[in-house]
Amino acid sequence: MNISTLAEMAAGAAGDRVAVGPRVGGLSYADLFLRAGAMARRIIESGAERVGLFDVNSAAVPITLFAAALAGRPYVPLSFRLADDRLRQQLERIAPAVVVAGGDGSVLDGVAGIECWARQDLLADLAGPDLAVADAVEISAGEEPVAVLLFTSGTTGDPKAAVLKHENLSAYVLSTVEFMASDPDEATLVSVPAYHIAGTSAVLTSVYSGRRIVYMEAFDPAEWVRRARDERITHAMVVPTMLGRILDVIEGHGDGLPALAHLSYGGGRMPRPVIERAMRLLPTTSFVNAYGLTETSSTIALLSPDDHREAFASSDPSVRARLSSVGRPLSTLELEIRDDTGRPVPAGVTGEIHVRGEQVSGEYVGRSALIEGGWFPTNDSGWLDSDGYLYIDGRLDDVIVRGGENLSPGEIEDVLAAHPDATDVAVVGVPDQEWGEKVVAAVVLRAGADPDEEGFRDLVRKALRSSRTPAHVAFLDELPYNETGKLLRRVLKADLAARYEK
Amino acid sequence: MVRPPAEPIDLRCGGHPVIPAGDEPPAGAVLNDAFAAGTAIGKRFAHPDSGLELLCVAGGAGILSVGEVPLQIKGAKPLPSSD
Repeated sequence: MNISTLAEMAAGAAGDRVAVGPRVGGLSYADLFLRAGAMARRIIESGAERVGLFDVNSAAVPITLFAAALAGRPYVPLSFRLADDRLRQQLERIAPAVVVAGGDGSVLDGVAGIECWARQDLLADLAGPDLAVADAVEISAGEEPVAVLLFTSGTTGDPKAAVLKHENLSAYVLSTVEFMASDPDEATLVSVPAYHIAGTSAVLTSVYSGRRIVYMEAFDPAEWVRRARDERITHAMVVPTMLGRILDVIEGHGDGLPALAHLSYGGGRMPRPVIERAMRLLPTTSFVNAYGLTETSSTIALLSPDDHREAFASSDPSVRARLSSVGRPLSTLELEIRDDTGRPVPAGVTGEIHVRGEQVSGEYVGRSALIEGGWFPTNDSGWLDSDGYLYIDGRLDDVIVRGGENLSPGEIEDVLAAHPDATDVAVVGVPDQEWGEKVVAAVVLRAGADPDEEGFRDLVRKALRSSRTPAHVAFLDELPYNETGKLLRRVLKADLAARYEK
Repeated sequence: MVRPPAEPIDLRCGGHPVIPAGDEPPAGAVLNDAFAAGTAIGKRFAHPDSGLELLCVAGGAGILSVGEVPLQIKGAKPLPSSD
C-alpha cells in the first residue's frame, strides 16, 4: 500500500484537525493532503526521478514525503550537515531530482540534473489562492515500490543508501498504530532531523494516529523544554544524549513537564543512571525505549511503560537490569540471536541479532543484505534473557578481541556507568602487541569529581572478570557524538589508540 | 488492499461484487440489508483462507464479505508510541 494513503485517510476522517504546527493556525490534515497533491503534480511535471530534501524540520517535511509518494518518486532526505564533497556525491547519486532546500539553495548549485526548490517559495506557492482542488487530487502513484531512500551514516567508502519500500513502511504503521486513536489534544515534539529514520516514521505514525506534530528546527535543551511547555506537548522522542541535557534544564526550573504523558528514546545506548533520573524527575511520564534500524523501518523491539515501572520499582537485580535492555521484540516480526556459524543460540548467549518481517527491508540500492529465508543480519551484537528481553552490546565491529576472547564494550560500559562520578562512558579496543587488543575506557566525570582511575578499574574487576578490566581509563571533557546522538566510536578509538597503543 | 489473495476470490461489499476504484457502479445496484452493518475507516480485515488483507480507507454503509461470509476484523496490536 502506498504511504500517501495514510495521509489521504487522515484528511478524509479528520480533515479539520491540525496535522503540523501550532494548535491555532497549524496545517490541517485536509491542507496537508491538498498541498502534497499539488506538489506531486509539480514533481511529475519536472521530470524528476527522485525528490530530495536538504533542510531543517518544517511543514515541508511531511508535505514532501507524501508528495513524493503520490508522484511515485522515492523521497530522499539528505543530511544538511554533510561536507560539500559528500553532499555532491549523494546529489549525483539521486539525479535527476528536485531537491527542497532551506535558504536560497545555492549550496546545491552546479550538480547536473538537480533542480532546487527553495522551501519558503514552495510553501507559499502551495498555499496560494490558485490552489484548486482539481489541481491537487487524483494523482496515480504508479508502480514505484520505493518510498524512501536514506543514506546511512558510514564514515568511509561510497555512500550506501538504504531502501524502504511502501510495503515496509505501511506494514510498520498498520501493525503498530490504530487509525485516529489519538486524543485531539495530543501533540508530539519532533527534534530528530528528517534524514534520520525516526524523522520519517514520526510523520507516518503521527499522521495515521491523528497526533499533531510540532517541529524543532534543531535540538536545543532549553528550547525543547520551553516548546514542550508552551505547546502542551504530550509525546516526544529523544536520543539518549538529548535526555540528559533536557533533565538538567528541568532540574534547574523545578516545574517538571506535567503535560508530557509519554517520552520515548532510542538511537543509542541509554545509561541507566540517566533513565533512572528521568523517571524520578518526570514521575507522571510514561517511558518507552525503542530499538530499531534504518533498514527495519524503525522500531523492532521496545521496553514498554509498564516494563519501566516494574523494573524501576523492583529490588530484584535481574528485573531492575531490564532498564538497560531494549525490551521485547514486536510480536509482528521474528527475532533470533545467532552464533557466527549462523545457528540460533539459547537465552543468555551473545550473538548477532537477526530479524525477519514485513517491515524489514534489509535492502540497499543495488543489493539486498537479506540472507536465506529472508532474514536480515543486523550487524548488532546482543542477547535475550530468559524472559525474552533483548540486550544490545553494540555493533559487531565494535567487539573487542583480547587474547582470543570476545569482549562486549556494552557490558563493561554498563558497569562503569553505575559509578556515581560518571556522567558518560565508552569502552573501545586499542591495538596491543601482547593481547591483540586491550580494553580502554573513556569516562566523562561529574563536575568537580576526582579522576580516580583505580576506582573505575576496581568496579569492573569486581563485577566482571579481570580480562574485562580496562588497561587504561581516560578522563575526557566529552565523548564524540554525531548530530543524531550516535557515539562516534571510530573517532574515539583513534584518539585513545594515539594515546595508549603499544 | 494490504495483501492480495493467493487466488481470485468472490469479494463483495454491501452484498455486491466489488469494482475497481473509480468505476461506475452497475445501474440499479441496491445495498443488501443483510450486508449493511457499515464499515469504518481505518479498520483492517483478513481472509485467512486466501491471505487477503484489506484496509478500509473510506467508510460506508456496506460490509465486506467473501461470497456470503462476512470478513473478520483483524485486531490491531497498538504499541506505545516509539517514534
